[in-house]
Amino acid sequence: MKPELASPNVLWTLGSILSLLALATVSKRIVQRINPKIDLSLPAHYINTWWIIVIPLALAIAASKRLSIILFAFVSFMTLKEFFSIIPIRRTDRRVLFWAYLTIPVQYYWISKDWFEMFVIFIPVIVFLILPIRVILIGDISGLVKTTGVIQWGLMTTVFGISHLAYLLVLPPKYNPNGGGAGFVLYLILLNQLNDIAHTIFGKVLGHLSVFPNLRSQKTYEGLVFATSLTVFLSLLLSQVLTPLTRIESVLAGLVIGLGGVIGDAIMSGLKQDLGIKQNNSNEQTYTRILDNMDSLMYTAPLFFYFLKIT
Amino acid sequence: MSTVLRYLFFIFIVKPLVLIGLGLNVYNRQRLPSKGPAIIVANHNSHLDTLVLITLFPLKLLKNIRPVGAADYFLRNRFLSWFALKIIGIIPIYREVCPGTKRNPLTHISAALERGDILIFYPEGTRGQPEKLQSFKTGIAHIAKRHPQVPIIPVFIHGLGKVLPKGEALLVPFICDVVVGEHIRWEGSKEAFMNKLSSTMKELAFKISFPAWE
Repeated sequence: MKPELASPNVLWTLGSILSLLALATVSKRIVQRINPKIDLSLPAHYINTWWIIVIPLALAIAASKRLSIILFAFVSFMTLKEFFSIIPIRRTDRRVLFWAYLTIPVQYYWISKDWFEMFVIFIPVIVFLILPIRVILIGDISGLVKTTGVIQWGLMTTVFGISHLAYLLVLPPKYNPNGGGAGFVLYLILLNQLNDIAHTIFGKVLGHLSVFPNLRSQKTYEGLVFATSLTVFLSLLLSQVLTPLTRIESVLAGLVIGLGGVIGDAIMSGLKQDLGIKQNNSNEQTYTRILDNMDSLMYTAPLFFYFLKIT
Repeated sequence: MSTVLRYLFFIFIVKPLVLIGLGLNVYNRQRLPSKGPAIIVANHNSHLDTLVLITLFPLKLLKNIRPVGAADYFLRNRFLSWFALKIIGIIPIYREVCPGTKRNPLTHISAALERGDILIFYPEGTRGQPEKLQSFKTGIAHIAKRHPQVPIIPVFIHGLGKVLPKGEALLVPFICDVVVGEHIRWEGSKEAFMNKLSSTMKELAFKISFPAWE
């Protein structure tokens, strides 16, 4: 089987990530063997997360175009299900939620047909206009705005947001001679995840001044400056390998991905805080295993997509 | 033939549906019995309760797992009774003892426990209002008294009443919680046993915080 979507640059990058990840996993084991007292829960958390992201991504890139789209649709489904499991809903909303699930195959169908206009307007416009009708037909009017508002939030992030990754992935190679659509996806996900890690580390080491004092999520101004600079720097490096972006464009893309990630992370934290769900970075039982790792990506994916569209 | 169908049904339909279509958060899985005889006592909100509970056990135990179901409901027509008895593997129980018959309604249950089966029992008697715990009927106390050595494991399930409540045919996916409690045994009197069972169940329900479902 010859991968339809992978170029040599993409395969090399993917291979390097996998080897680094294997190296990290092994060294974590060794450190733990030598000194069992060291607390490795944070690196262990990131290593696990990376495995969970990289394996499906490698599959999606190696698979045929149709299979990659199905894989991303499945990610949307799992994430939307997590979202619906944590929001307060009314008994009468079951059928509305069922309709909301049905938007997933439709949204990914537009991608498979390369129907860009429908892909863009379907969830923000069409579903936005239709969902309240379902609630009104059921007749439980008190709470209409809240119900449709919460569901629309879920669809915009988990279906609309994530579907942009799938659309990027199946872009024809002419848009990106360096890495094809897969190059864009890999570039975006790498920067997004590294940006997240950089924020955690810099925020812990040198951060005092909180950016969002009312949020439980820890983002500091010091972390923001250092992490964003690092992301822009990495963007300059990676864009050479994976994208056709010029120098200036890579700096801008690094800023979009870095700052977009912070905003996305903050908004999803706020949403969870509002709903009374604690953020969970441990291996404890939790509803939001995928959602926690996708929250900044769900934001940056459309941002980066339209950034590419206008440059 | 129906044994093969039972395995196929659980491997290809029930497991994917429960683990991927819905998704489970299982608390204290290690408290589940690894062999019979044992009785799983659970709250009952949905037909899916039974499928979820069976999924918690490894396939090699499938032949030993016997949900206890109402005969008047599950044996009401030929197809349903074939499906309930052969595929789900229920032990039918007659909720109303017919006057004139001397038959003890618990005979089949005792026989299954003596064979070393794991029973699934819903002391609420029927699927209640979604996500509301109803008071328990005392049939379980009679079984516990007859088999004081059999461990009784209370399990609290939350979420399936949202997925597929009573009287609905449309399935809507949600992630569900399953909390396994420590096993309890017959305590000498019916009241003491029933109190212990309901208080354990309420404690299990407190373990999880779930979003509102008005």
